[in-house]
Amino acid sequence: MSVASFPPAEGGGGAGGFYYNITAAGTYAVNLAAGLYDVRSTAPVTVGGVAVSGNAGLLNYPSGITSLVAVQPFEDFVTRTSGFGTTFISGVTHGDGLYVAVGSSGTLTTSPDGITWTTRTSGFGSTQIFGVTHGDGLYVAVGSSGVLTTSPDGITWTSRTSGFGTTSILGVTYGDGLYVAVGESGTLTTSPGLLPITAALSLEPKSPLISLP
Amino acid sequence: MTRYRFEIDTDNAIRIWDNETPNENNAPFMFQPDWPDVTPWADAAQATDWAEVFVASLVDPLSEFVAGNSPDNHPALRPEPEPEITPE
Repeated sequence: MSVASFPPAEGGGGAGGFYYNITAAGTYAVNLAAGLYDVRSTAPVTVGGVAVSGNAGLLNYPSGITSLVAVQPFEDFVTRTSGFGTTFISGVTHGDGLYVAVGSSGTLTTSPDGITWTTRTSGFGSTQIFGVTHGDGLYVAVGSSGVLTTSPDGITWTSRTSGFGTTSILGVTYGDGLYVAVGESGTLTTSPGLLPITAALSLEPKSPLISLP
Repeated sequence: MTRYRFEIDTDNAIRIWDNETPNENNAPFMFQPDWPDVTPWADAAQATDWAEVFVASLVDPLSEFVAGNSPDNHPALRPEPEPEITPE
Protein backbone atom coordinates (compact mmCIF):
# COMPACT_ATOMS: atom_id res chain seq x y z
CA MET A 1 0.00 0.00 0.00
CA SER A 2 1.48 3.32 -1.01
CA VAL A 3 1.33 5.83 1.80
CA ALA A 4 3.93 8.39 0.74
CA SER A 5 5.11 10.16 -2.34
CA PHE A 6 8.60 9.62 -3.68
CA PRO A 7 10.89 11.34 -4.21
CA PRO A 8 10.29 13.51 -1.16
CA ALA A 9 9.66 17.21 -1.29
CA GLU A 10 12.64 19.25 -0.16
CA GLY A 11 12.79 21.61 2.79
CA GLY A 12 11.82 22.04 6.43
CA GLY A 13 11.28 19.48 9.10
CA GLY A 14 14.67 19.49 10.76
CA ALA A 15 18.29 19.66 9.85
CA GLY A 16 18.57 18.96 6.17
CA GLY A 17 15.20 17.28 6.25
CA PHE A 18 12.76 16.28 3.60
CA TYR A 19 9.03 16.01 3.79
CA TYR A 20 7.48 12.73 2.97
CA ASN A 21 3.89 13.22 2.10
CA ILE A 22 2.28 10.57 4.24
CA THR A 23 -1.34 10.12 3.36
CA ALA A 24 -2.52 8.03 6.30
CA ALA A 25 -1.88 7.84 10.01
CA GLY A 26 -0.54 4.59 11.32
CA THR A 27 2.56 2.55 11.92
CA TYR A 28 5.15 2.48 9.21
CA ALA A 29 8.29 0.59 8.46
CA VAL A 30 10.73 3.06 6.93
CA ASN A 31 13.49 1.51 4.95
CA LEU A 32 16.53 3.76 4.99
CA ALA A 33 19.82 3.17 3.33
CA ALA A 34 21.32 3.00 6.80
CA GLY A 35 18.83 0.46 8.05
CA LEU A 36 15.23 -0.17 8.93
CA TYR A 37 13.48 2.29 11.20
CA ASP A 38 10.08 2.07 12.76
CA VAL A 39 8.13 5.31 12.75
CA ARG A 40 4.91 5.42 14.67
CA SER A 41 2.28 8.03 14.08
CA THR A 42 -0.71 8.04 16.36
CA ALA A 43 -2.11 11.39 15.29
CA PRO A 44 -3.58 12.24 11.93
CA VAL A 45 -1.00 13.42 9.46
CA THR A 46 -1.30 16.37 7.13
CA VAL A 47 -1.01 15.70 3.48
CA GLY A 48 1.22 17.99 1.51
CA GLY A 49 4.29 18.23 3.68
CA VAL A 50 3.10 21.07 5.88
CA ALA A 51 3.04 19.20 9.12
CA VAL A 52 3.26 15.60 10.19
CA SER A 53 1.97 15.62 13.72
CA GLY A 54 3.23 12.84 15.91
CA ASN A 55 5.64 11.74 13.26
CA ALA A 56 8.44 14.23 13.72
CA GLY A 57 11.08 11.57 13.77
CA LEU A 58 10.50 10.87 10.17
CA LEU A 59 11.23 14.46 9.24
CA ASN A 60 14.66 14.36 10.78
CA TYR A 61 15.93 11.64 8.53
CA PRO A 62 17.80 13.70 5.98
CA SER A 63 17.75 11.36 3.02
CA GLY A 64 18.03 7.88 1.79
CA ILE A 65 14.55 6.58 2.36
CA THR A 66 13.92 3.95 -0.25
CA SER A 67 10.50 2.77 0.76
CA LEU A 68 7.73 3.52 3.20
CA VAL A 69 5.04 0.98 3.82
CA ALA A 70 2.20 0.73 6.28
CA VAL A 71 2.56 -2.04 8.84
CA GLN A 72 -0.63 -3.95 9.35
CA PRO A 73 -1.52 -4.18 13.04
CA PHE A 74 -1.31 -7.66 14.56
CA GLU A 75 -4.54 -8.34 16.33
CA ASP A 76 -4.52 -9.83 19.80
CA PHE A 77 -5.03 -13.54 20.27
CA VAL A 78 -8.40 -14.58 21.60
CA THR A 79 -8.68 -17.57 23.93
CA ARG A 80 -10.81 -20.42 22.56
CA THR A 81 -11.96 -23.72 24.03
CA SER A 82 -9.56 -26.30 22.67
CA GLY A 83 -11.04 -29.57 23.86
CA PHE A 84 -7.82 -30.40 25.73
CA GLY A 85 -9.00 -29.33 29.17
CA THR A 86 -5.91 -28.41 31.17
CA THR A 87 -3.60 -30.91 29.47
CA PHE A 88 -0.85 -29.68 27.21
CA ILE A 89 -1.19 -29.11 23.49
CA SER A 90 2.09 -29.74 21.75
CA GLY A 91 1.37 -29.15 18.10
CA VAL A 92 -1.00 -27.63 15.59
CA THR A 93 -1.12 -27.41 11.83
CA HIS A 94 -3.44 -26.35 9.05
CA GLY A 95 -4.15 -27.77 5.65
CA ASP A 96 -7.02 -28.36 3.24
CA GLY A 97 -9.31 -26.10 5.23
CA LEU A 98 -8.80 -27.82 8.57
CA TYR A 99 -6.78 -27.07 11.68
CA VAL A 100 -5.50 -30.11 13.59
CA ALA A 101 -4.18 -29.83 17.17
CA VAL A 102 -2.48 -32.63 19.09
CA GLY A 103 -1.21 -33.16 22.60
CA SER A 104 -1.32 -35.09 25.82
CA SER A 105 -2.80 -38.59 26.16
CA GLY A 106 -3.37 -39.03 22.46
CA THR A 107 -5.74 -36.11 22.29
CA LEU A 108 -6.43 -34.78 18.80
CA THR A 109 -8.91 -32.10 17.86
CA THR A 110 -9.87 -30.55 14.55
CA SER A 111 -11.47 -27.28 13.59
CA PRO A 112 -12.52 -25.77 10.29
CA ASP A 113 -12.17 -22.21 11.61
CA GLY A 114 -9.85 -22.28 14.64
CA ILE A 115 -12.77 -21.34 16.88
CA THR A 116 -14.88 -24.45 17.27
CA TRP A 117 -12.93 -27.64 17.94
CA THR A 118 -14.03 -31.26 17.74
CA THR A 119 -12.28 -34.08 19.58
CA ARG A 120 -11.30 -36.98 17.33
CA THR A 121 -10.01 -40.45 18.10
CA SER A 122 -6.38 -40.40 17.10
CA GLY A 123 -5.29 -44.01 17.22
CA PHE A 124 -2.54 -43.06 19.67
CA GLY A 125 -4.53 -44.38 22.64
CA SER A 126 -3.04 -42.77 25.74
CA THR A 127 0.29 -42.15 24.00
CA GLN A 128 1.38 -38.54 23.79
CA ILE A 129 1.27 -36.83 20.41
CA PHE A 130 4.08 -34.33 20.03
CA GLY A 131 3.67 -32.98 16.54
CA VAL A 132 1.49 -32.76 13.49
CA THR A 133 1.96 -31.35 10.01
CA HIS A 134 0.20 -31.21 6.71
CA GLY A 135 1.59 -31.48 3.24
CA ASP A 136 0.70 -32.82 -0.17
CA GLY A 137 -2.81 -33.71 0.90
CA LEU A 138 -1.85 -35.63 4.00
CA TYR A 139 -1.74 -34.95 7.73
CA VAL A 140 1.07 -36.65 9.65
CA ALA A 141 1.01 -36.96 13.45
CA VAL A 142 3.94 -38.18 15.53
CA GLY A 143 4.40 -39.00 19.16
CA SER A 144 5.81 -41.06 21.95
CA SER A 145 7.27 -44.54 21.38
CA GLY A 146 7.84 -43.87 17.68
CA VAL A 147 4.16 -43.84 16.80
CA LEU A 148 3.38 -42.16 13.46
CA THR A 149 -0.02 -41.94 11.80
CA THR A 150 -1.24 -40.35 8.60
CA SER A 151 -4.62 -39.13 7.50
CA PRO A 152 -6.05 -37.64 4.31
CA ASP A 153 -8.83 -35.80 6.17
CA GLY A 154 -7.84 -35.42 9.84
CA ILE A 155 -10.49 -37.95 10.88
CA THR A 156 -9.43 -41.37 9.67
CA TRP A 157 -5.84 -42.29 10.48
CA THR A 158 -3.45 -45.02 9.34
CA SER A 159 -0.49 -46.30 11.35
CA ARG A 160 2.84 -46.20 9.53
CA THR A 161 6.39 -47.24 10.26
CA SER A 162 8.33 -44.25 11.48
CA GLY A 163 11.89 -45.51 11.47
CA PHE A 164 12.21 -44.45 15.11
CA GLY A 165 11.56 -47.86 16.66
CA THR A 166 10.33 -47.05 20.15
CA THR A 167 12.10 -43.68 20.31
CA SER A 168 9.82 -40.70 20.73
CA ILE A 169 9.21 -38.48 17.72
CA LEU A 170 9.07 -34.87 18.84
CA GLY A 171 8.38 -33.00 15.63
CA VAL A 172 7.46 -33.35 11.98
CA THR A 173 7.23 -30.95 9.07
CA TYR A 174 6.73 -30.96 5.33
CA GLY A 175 8.35 -28.95 2.61
CA ASP A 176 9.52 -29.22 -0.96
CA GLY A 177 8.14 -32.71 -1.37
CA LEU A 178 9.66 -34.14 1.78
CA TYR A 179 8.35 -35.05 5.20
CA VAL A 180 10.97 -34.71 7.94
CA ALA A 181 10.53 -36.13 11.43
CA VAL A 182 12.84 -35.54 14.38
CA GLY A 183 13.02 -37.03 17.83
CA GLU A 184 14.99 -38.18 20.79
CA SER A 185 18.57 -39.43 20.58
CA GLY A 186 19.26 -37.26 17.56
CA THR A 187 17.09 -39.35 15.28
CA LEU A 188 15.92 -37.73 12.05
CA THR A 189 13.98 -39.47 9.31
CA THR A 190 12.62 -38.41 5.95
CA SER A 191 9.93 -39.69 3.64
CA PRO A 192 9.90 -38.61 0.02
CA GLY A 193 6.18 -38.53 -0.43
CA LEU A 194 3.17 -40.39 -1.56
CA LEU A 195 2.02 -42.86 -4.07
CA PRO A 196 -1.65 -43.02 -5.02
CA ILE A 197 -3.59 -46.15 -4.25
CA THR A 198 -7.02 -47.11 -5.41
CA ALA A 199 -8.46 -47.67 -1.96
CA ALA A 200 -11.37 -45.66 -0.69
CA LEU A 201 -9.30 -43.12 1.19
CA SER A 202 -7.40 -41.38 -1.58
CA LEU A 203 -3.72 -41.00 -0.80
CA GLU A 204 -1.61 -42.92 1.64
CA PRO A 205 2.15 -42.86 2.03
CA LYS A 206 3.75 -45.97 0.65
CA SER A 207 7.28 -45.15 1.62
CA PRO A 208 8.31 -45.93 5.18
CA LEU A 209 10.37 -43.15 6.70
CA ILE A 210 14.07 -43.53 6.07
CA SER A 211 16.65 -42.89 8.74
CA LEU A 212 19.51 -40.58 7.88
CA PRO A 213 22.99 -41.62 8.96
CA MET B 1 -21.57 -52.12 23.91
CA THR B 2 -17.82 -52.16 23.64
CA ARG B 3 -16.10 -48.91 22.84
CA TYR B 4 -14.29 -50.01 19.70
CA ARG B 5 -15.47 -52.13 16.80
CA PHE B 6 -13.70 -53.08 13.62
CA GLU B 7 -14.47 -54.58 10.25
CA ILE B 8 -12.24 -56.42 7.81
CA ASP B 9 -12.99 -55.58 4.21
CA THR B 10 -12.91 -58.01 1.32
CA ASP B 11 -9.41 -56.79 0.51
CA ASN B 12 -8.46 -57.34 4.19
CA ALA B 13 -8.31 -53.61 4.90
CA ILE B 14 -9.12 -52.82 8.52
CA ARG B 15 -11.55 -50.13 9.59
CA ILE B 16 -11.95 -49.31 13.28
CA TRP B 17 -14.63 -47.13 14.87
CA ASP B 18 -14.81 -45.51 18.28
CA ASN B 19 -18.39 -45.81 19.53
CA GLU B 20 -17.82 -43.16 22.18
CA THR B 21 -16.49 -40.53 19.80
CA PRO B 22 -18.49 -40.81 16.62
CA ASN B 23 -17.97 -38.27 13.86
CA GLU B 24 -20.27 -36.59 11.43
CA ASN B 25 -20.04 -39.20 8.70
CA ASN B 26 -19.55 -42.25 10.91
CA ALA B 27 -16.10 -42.57 9.40
CA PRO B 28 -13.68 -44.99 11.02
CA PHE B 29 -10.90 -43.37 13.00
CA MET B 30 -8.46 -45.98 11.73
CA PHE B 31 -8.06 -47.28 8.22
CA GLN B 32 -5.29 -49.82 7.87
CA PRO B 33 -5.10 -51.13 4.29
CA ASP B 34 -1.88 -53.00 5.02
CA TRP B 35 0.75 -53.42 7.72
CA PRO B 36 2.26 -50.15 8.94
CA ASP B 37 5.39 -51.01 6.95
CA VAL B 38 3.10 -51.36 3.87
CA THR B 39 3.41 -55.15 3.70
CA PRO B 40 0.07 -56.45 2.37
CA TRP B 41 -2.11 -58.41 4.75
CA ALA B 42 -1.62 -62.12 4.09
CA ASP B 43 -5.28 -62.86 4.75
CA ALA B 44 -8.28 -61.77 6.75
CA ALA B 45 -7.14 -63.76 9.77
CA GLN B 46 -3.87 -61.83 9.93
CA ALA B 47 -5.66 -58.51 9.64
CA THR B 48 -8.16 -59.55 12.29
CA ASP B 49 -5.38 -60.47 14.69
CA TRP B 50 -3.69 -57.11 14.16
CA ALA B 51 -6.95 -55.27 14.77
CA GLU B 52 -7.70 -57.26 17.91
CA VAL B 53 -4.29 -56.52 19.40
CA PHE B 54 -4.55 -52.86 18.39
CA VAL B 55 -7.96 -52.45 20.01
CA ALA B 56 -6.86 -54.35 23.12
CA SER B 57 -3.90 -51.98 23.49
CA LEU B 58 -6.28 -49.03 23.37
CA VAL B 59 -8.67 -50.53 25.90
CA ASP B 60 -5.84 -51.41 28.28
CA PRO B 61 -3.08 -48.78 28.17
CA LEU B 62 -0.93 -51.15 30.24
CA SER B 63 -1.40 -54.21 28.04
CA GLU B 64 1.73 -56.28 27.54
CA PHE B 65 1.55 -56.16 23.76
CA VAL B 66 0.74 -53.64 21.08
CA ALA B 67 0.06 -54.13 17.37
CA GLY B 68 3.30 -54.51 15.47
CA ASN B 69 4.58 -52.69 12.43
CA SER B 70 5.25 -55.81 10.37
CA PRO B 71 4.44 -59.52 10.30
CA ASP B 72 7.84 -60.23 11.82
CA ASN B 73 7.20 -57.87 14.71
CA HIS B 74 3.70 -58.69 15.86
CA PRO B 75 2.51 -58.53 18.49
CA ALA B 76 5.19 -56.19 19.78
CA LEU B 77 6.03 -55.74 23.42
CA ARG B 78 4.62 -52.46 24.65
CA PRO B 79 7.45 -49.96 24.95
CA GLU B 80 8.42 -48.97 28.46
CA PRO B 81 6.15 -46.16 29.55
CA GLU B 82 7.92 -42.85 29.33
CA PRO B 83 7.53 -40.03 31.79
CA GLU B 84 5.02 -37.46 30.65
CA ILE B 85 6.92 -34.77 28.81
CA THR B 86 5.55 -31.33 29.39
CA PRO B 87 6.77 -28.70 26.96
CA GLU B 88 8.30 -25.70 28.67
